Amino acid sequence: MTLLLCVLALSYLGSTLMRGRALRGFGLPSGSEWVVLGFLLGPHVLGSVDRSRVVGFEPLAAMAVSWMAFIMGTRYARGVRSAGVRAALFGTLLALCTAGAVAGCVYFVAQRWLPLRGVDLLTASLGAGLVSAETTRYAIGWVVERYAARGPLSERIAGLAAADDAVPLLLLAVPFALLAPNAPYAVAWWGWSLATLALGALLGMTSALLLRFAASASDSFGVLLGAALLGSGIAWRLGLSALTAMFALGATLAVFSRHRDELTSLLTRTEQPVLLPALLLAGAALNLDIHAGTGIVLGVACGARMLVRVLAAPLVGAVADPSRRPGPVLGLALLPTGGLTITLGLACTLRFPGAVGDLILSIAVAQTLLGELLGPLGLRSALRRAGEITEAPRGVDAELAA
Amino acid sequence: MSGAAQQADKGWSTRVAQLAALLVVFAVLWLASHITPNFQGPFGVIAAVGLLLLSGMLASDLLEVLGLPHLTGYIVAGVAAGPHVLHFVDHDTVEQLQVVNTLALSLIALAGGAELRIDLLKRCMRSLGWATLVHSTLGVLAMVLAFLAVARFLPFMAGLTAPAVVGVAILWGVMAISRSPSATLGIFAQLRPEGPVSRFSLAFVMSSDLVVVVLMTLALTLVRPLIDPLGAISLNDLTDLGREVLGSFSLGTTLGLVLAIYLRVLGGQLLIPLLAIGFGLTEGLHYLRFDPLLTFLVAGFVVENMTKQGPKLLHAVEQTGSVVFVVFFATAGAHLDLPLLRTLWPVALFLAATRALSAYAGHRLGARLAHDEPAVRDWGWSCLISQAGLTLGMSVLVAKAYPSFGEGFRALAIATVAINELVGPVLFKFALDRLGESQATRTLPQAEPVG
Repeated sequence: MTLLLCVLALSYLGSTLMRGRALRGFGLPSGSEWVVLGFLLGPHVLGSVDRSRVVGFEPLAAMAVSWMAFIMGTRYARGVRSAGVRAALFGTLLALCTAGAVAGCVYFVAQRWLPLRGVDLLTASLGAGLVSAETTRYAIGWVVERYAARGPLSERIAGLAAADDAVPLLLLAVPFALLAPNAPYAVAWWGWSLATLALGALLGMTSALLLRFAASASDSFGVLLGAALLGSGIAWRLGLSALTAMFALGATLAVFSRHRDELTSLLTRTEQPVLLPALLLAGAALNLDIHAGTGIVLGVACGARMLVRVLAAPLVGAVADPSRRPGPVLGLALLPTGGLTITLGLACTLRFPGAVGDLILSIAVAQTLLGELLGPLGLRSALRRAGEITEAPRGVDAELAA
Repeated sequence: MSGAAQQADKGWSTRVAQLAALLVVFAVLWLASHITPNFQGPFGVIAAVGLLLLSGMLASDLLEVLGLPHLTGYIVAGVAAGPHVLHFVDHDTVEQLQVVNTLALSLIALAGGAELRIDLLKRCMRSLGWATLVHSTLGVLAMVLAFLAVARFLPFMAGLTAPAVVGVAILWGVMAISRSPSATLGIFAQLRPEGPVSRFSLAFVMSSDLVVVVLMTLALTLVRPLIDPLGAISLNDLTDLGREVLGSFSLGTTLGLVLAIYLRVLGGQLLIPLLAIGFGLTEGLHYLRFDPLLTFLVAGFVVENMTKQGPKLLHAVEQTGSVVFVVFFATAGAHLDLPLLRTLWPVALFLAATRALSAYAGHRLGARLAHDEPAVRDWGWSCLISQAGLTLGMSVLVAKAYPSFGEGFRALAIATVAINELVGPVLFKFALDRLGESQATRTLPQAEPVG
């Protein structure tokens, strides 16, 4: 326990020291090294923390993932604006297709290989689909900055990655609503899903109203923190998706507040210190004592995601620049995933303790590791083929090459 | 707590919007409470912190219209949301929120120490010396006598022996001479005053922190035999006291230097270190039987006066405190035992009035002995009325040390602090405005003709 606390503190210090430098050569773009570190500390390897003690960090983890969703919500509108409507729509569509394909495949394979049935099976499949939906912007930025890539393809992929966060974060309300929330009333899943969105939107509009009279967003940090704590506390208390509520809160705030840009940069500064401990806790919470058929389900989930991305690659290439076709390797470039995926996986583990949560988190980690292995290589190769990388690597890579 | 930005002109539309927002916040939590009644668990606490934070900030802004200080707004919000009025925050949650006290007190002590600059102390040395002497002796005595006069009307004193009553009165007397660094700092942030009274106020309120903390440590040890018939003062107690004070000074110095190194290396990223200090280190200090308030006060003093990192520390504490203090005071409001208060209010009013009179008389005497300038002599007492976090923190210490009467003692302390906090900042602001020391009323010096 003490070791985990120390590593959490170190992860904070590390994130403080490394803030802004990740893209310049320190750390992996997905942050998966922190997940691996957490896993090493967890019950399966060093055993420094057992599962019951990981559960002791539940409120911390819950707040961390909720805060991450809040940050992503405030950033989403700006991401869509900078990416353009077409790229945003394409990103959304790709995320929906990926989520649907993975969820469908997991549903059919899991009912054959895992002892999950009924709502549990549906929840696990939906969760698996949602944790597979995003493409992390950091991997794209990592490659683009290292190799000074410039051109329509890198811009298209960056825009697509910036605009696809909404799909998993909003749709997460559905699996959370499927397992009856902690309420004495019988309300349909769509009712709870809408209530989750309404909670976030209402608090977002209230916060925007209050921020309207503030001289700057930093003067009203208490309002932001209060709204986030109130919204996520209520959502977790009811068993609803706090991530959806917080994303809605952040997005509403960004739409209605005149301080939106200052707000985004203020909250983005808190991202690293919150994300890294969350990744560490996700690694420690990873449970490999699961059913033998899980490996097959993991393989199918990863394969389905890769297939959708490879099939979508020609379309992305054609939309970006019809004259230069990077080929199917672009599909690998769309594989990287990271903080959001792990955040979603951790949220599912907290909400669905047991086989369902374990399966979703395992798929999230598997997708992240696979994306980390193949994504940057694929992206670099695709950008070279598209003629957008012409220089030698910059920064640390250049020093290493020298 | 009240920055200049918050003093921006706020019209009726702002107030209406804030009132609407407050209603929305309450409505959302009411709905959640209605759906899941009797919910227990960490997420209930998280939601409660959010509610207290939002409603505290909104209530403080709304009550600003009436000229009331922000702190009153926080307390009012806590009372409204607490278990005796709207019941959005239940007893168990309030108890779990007490950890915020620990953090808030450490931040107040750090900020208090960092405000104590050596040059300021040197300029006010004679005034501070006399004022401290008079308030620590005659002031305490006056409040002990006042408490003894009303002790028979206090339900929590029933059943105590005569020596125990004297012991409790001594604790009250020492606690009564504590001031409010946070309220003083809040007024300074709002008015940005300059002049003899503001210099004296800052130096005295911050340095009296140190004196009161030491006096309270002494009092808690010395009254033990009076309150507990089985307890006795031995040389060991005094040794322990010396060890506690000296150990707190030593650890505070070390902590201050470590904080300065951290600030120099990592800049202003102090949120997690402050949380670690507030929660982790405080527990460690309790375990080692050192005094956290004294330790943090010394740490703040060291950072300000022995390094160049003071402004960074103050800025970081101010940023963290702006959130923590709201929850701290709102939790204090939610913790308010209203049924008991209904019984205690006449006594609380009497004690608050006696304290104000004693502060006025003590200050006049001290100023005469120190040959202070007329402005300080006439209005220097205005900073002595406010009480807040430090006083509440001391009442918590008493409640923990003596559970048999501690909760009643604490409720009475909260009641008197509420009165003092209503009156104190208003008086202090009035004095600074009247003397032309606040920024708004200060006359700018005429530019000298050139050539």
